[in-house]
Amino acid sequence: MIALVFAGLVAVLMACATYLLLQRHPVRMVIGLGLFTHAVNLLIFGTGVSERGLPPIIVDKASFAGDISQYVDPLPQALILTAIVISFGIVAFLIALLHRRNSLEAVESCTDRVDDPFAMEPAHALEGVEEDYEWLEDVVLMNEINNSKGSR
Amino acid sequence: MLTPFLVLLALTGPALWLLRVHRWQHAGWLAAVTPAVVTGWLLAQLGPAAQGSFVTEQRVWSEAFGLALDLRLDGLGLFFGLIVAGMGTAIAVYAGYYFEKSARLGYFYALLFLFMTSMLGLVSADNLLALFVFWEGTSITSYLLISFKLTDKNALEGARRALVVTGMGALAMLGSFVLLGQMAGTYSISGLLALPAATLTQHALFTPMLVLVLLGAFTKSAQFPFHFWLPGAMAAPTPASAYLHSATMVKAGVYLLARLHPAFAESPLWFWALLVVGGLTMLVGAVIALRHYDLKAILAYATVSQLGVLVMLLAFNTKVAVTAAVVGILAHALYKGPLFMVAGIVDHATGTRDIRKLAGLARSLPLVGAAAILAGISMAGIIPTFGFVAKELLLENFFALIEAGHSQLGWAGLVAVVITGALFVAYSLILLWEAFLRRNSPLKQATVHHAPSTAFVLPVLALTVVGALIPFFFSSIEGALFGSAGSAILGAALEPHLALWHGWTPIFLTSLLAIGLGAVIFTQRERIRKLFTKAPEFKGQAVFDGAVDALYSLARWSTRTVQGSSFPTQIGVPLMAAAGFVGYALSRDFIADLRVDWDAIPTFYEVVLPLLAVVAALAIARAQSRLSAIISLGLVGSVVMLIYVFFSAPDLALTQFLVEVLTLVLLVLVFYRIPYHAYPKQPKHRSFKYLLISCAVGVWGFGMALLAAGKPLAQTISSYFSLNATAAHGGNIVNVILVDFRGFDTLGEISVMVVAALGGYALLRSSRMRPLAPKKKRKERRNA
Repeated sequence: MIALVFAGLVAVLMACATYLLLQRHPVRMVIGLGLFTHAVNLLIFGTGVSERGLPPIIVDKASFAGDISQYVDPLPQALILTAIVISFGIVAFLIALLHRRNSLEAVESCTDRVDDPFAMEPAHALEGVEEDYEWLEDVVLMNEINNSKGSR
Repeated sequence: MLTPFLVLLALTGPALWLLRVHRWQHAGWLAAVTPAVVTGWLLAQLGPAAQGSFVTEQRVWSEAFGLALDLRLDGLGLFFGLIVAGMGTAIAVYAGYYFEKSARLGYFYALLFLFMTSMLGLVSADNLLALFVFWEGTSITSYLLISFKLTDKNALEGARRALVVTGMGALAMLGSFVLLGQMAGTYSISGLLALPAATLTQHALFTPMLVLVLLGAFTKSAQFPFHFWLPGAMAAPTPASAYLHSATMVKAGVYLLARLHPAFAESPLWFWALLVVGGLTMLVGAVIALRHYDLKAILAYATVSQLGVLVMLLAFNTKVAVTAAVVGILAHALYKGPLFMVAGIVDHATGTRDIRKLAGLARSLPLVGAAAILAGISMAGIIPTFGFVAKELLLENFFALIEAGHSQLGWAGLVAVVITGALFVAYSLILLWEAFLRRNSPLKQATVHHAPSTAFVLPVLALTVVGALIPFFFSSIEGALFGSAGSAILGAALEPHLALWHGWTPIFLTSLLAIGLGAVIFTQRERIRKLFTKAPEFKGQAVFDGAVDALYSLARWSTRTVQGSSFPTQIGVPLMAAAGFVGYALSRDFIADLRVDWDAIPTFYEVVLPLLAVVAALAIARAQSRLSAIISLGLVGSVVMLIYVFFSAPDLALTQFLVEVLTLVLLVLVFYRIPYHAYPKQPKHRSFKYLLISCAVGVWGFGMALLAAGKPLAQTISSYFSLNATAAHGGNIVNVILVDFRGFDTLGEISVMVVAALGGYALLRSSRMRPLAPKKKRKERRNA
């Protein structure tokens, strides 16, 4: 029964997260990613919820005699702990990226053809220490060449 | 001695490049030293080889895979090796003058000598896989030589075509070699040929194997319908065309057929495939040659035709046919190579190869004219040249066929050969007359503005003179040169008796008939050319290009579909793949594991809290403002945290709480600074599609969660961690797992965090860009 509740929760979270990820809006994408992490963490957590028990902390180490049946499974918890931290790193980085993109373009713009939320044409927006971005020009030129080839 | 020579050859080219030979006046002569030495050594092997003692060498590479560099120079290998090294000597000298202090001479030599090494290795390899490696070596060097002129689009496309066609053939051939190795139990060629022929021909896999072998040989030797790559390869510098694309590399296919001839010649498939394809190629090449005006194009199609002749001859398992093939190979190398070189000199001297702009070159370039005429009458097959002997043997083959009772086939072949012979005569005469002898050209005549030095013409003359002299010394060389090569092809002793003059035989009369017909065609050439301009042309090249383009479009289409330019498609495809395929596998194999444990009753809060999370998640999906979405996300996070609390995971709850707060702060901070920008609404059908994908992923997640909560599919190691936690001096088992048992994983996790932190810091801190530069300025700079 608990498993069913968990599965239902995971299902709804995943569906909503996917829906958000599929939107063009970068903010929704970041939030979708956060939601997806919750779903996956709960999926892993669901492996150990059927059997109740104490938190896996051995209070009295001296008298511990190998009786582990009273504790819940520690392994999913260890996995999820890592997952939470790493996904936070990713979300934080994405947020920084969004901020950066915004500072470059001032407005989030998007054309119909390129609806990648991180797609922008940096070369049109860049000036400043020019030699730092020489390579970007090459990238843009290459893209233009490829595009013209593609359309041919 | 052979391996050192191969290494020496391979090193010579790069060494010349490093020495920057283009600065030297007569660099060609220096370059010619190595191939000349190799030629001398090969000549010295002729005597022993005729006695049946061959040079063999073995360098084992990987015994387990049967990979060894087995080299064995038998009569056939020696024969081809002599052509490779001998022609190579002449070409090396010639190229030195052709490139005339161009800085790329060294590069050319590097490629040329690498090719020479590959080709020599190819003809001396006694291991199928070694042969394949050398074979590919010739393909790659050929590709680089064709695309030598990097600015020329035709050259690049021609090179690509040649590489793709021969490369596909080589792949087929590799497959056939593997099959052959499986069938024979050995990759050694001599071992293969020593087997009784029936072991192979009676094998169940014989037919597919043979088809693959033939594909390899036919693509390499430019047989119809793969012949189109050879004329395209003429964009290569002329020394390369003369060497690779007439004398040596294109004969690699012929060599392969000759090499395997003893084992396969009994098979009817072999006979008919070679006969039909070779015969067609012979006719097609000869006919198309007439429609071209470019010297090199004419010669290229003539080469195609000649290759067809050789392939056709190898269909037969008779002494005459084999002799004709061997003589044909050498005769062709000795007239077609020089003719190509002449074309190069003409191009060099006048700046054009268009025959309509040329006239009277025999007067302005007498030495070149002499060489051209000598080689040209050999190509036409006019007595008393080497080419004449080759054609006589070719005719003799079909007369022998008629005598042997296959009169229909014999007559058909005879007619085809006479027509081809007549066309050979015709375009030889056209070449000689129009370029060298006539007084006026139809188009504005090109003048000789850059006369070649005598040394430039010398290698051409040397080759033609050798070709012209050979027929007069048949009695002294026929056994050593043609006899031992022919024996290797036939698989039985062959003692050819060649002569220039056989008397007024029917063969000679037929030969005269061909020459007469050729003369008629020559006189009617303008009319034929006019006809050609109206006739449709078979464009193998267009078909090939179409196929390549179609492949590219397919790749583009599949990339767009699977990967896409937009993020939704990029993420949608893998998610659907997960939901679809994994879902299918789950429902098929694990359906019994998707059990619900009805006994574990949740408490009231454990039902209400998930419900809250569900509502919050749906609210995010429908949220109109960013702030409400962020708040709802926080709500979901809090519920998850509480779930961790209820199910005895205090560490998780703590971490989740901290992370949740941090995320919330970050999101609010950043989005507060980003002005809101409304996105255009998705079209209805796309929204619907995304909704479907989302639902599929949700269902998949449901299944996965149920599966995860069910019975463990494999043994768990949790108890090990729990039991040994105290041994690691810890009470909190989760913490012990993280920092002790799986410490390196945590180190990895920390590294990820460090990278993310550094990346984020760099993104936020580097403010050396100002937004929205004027576009105009950039354009100016790009144009400048």
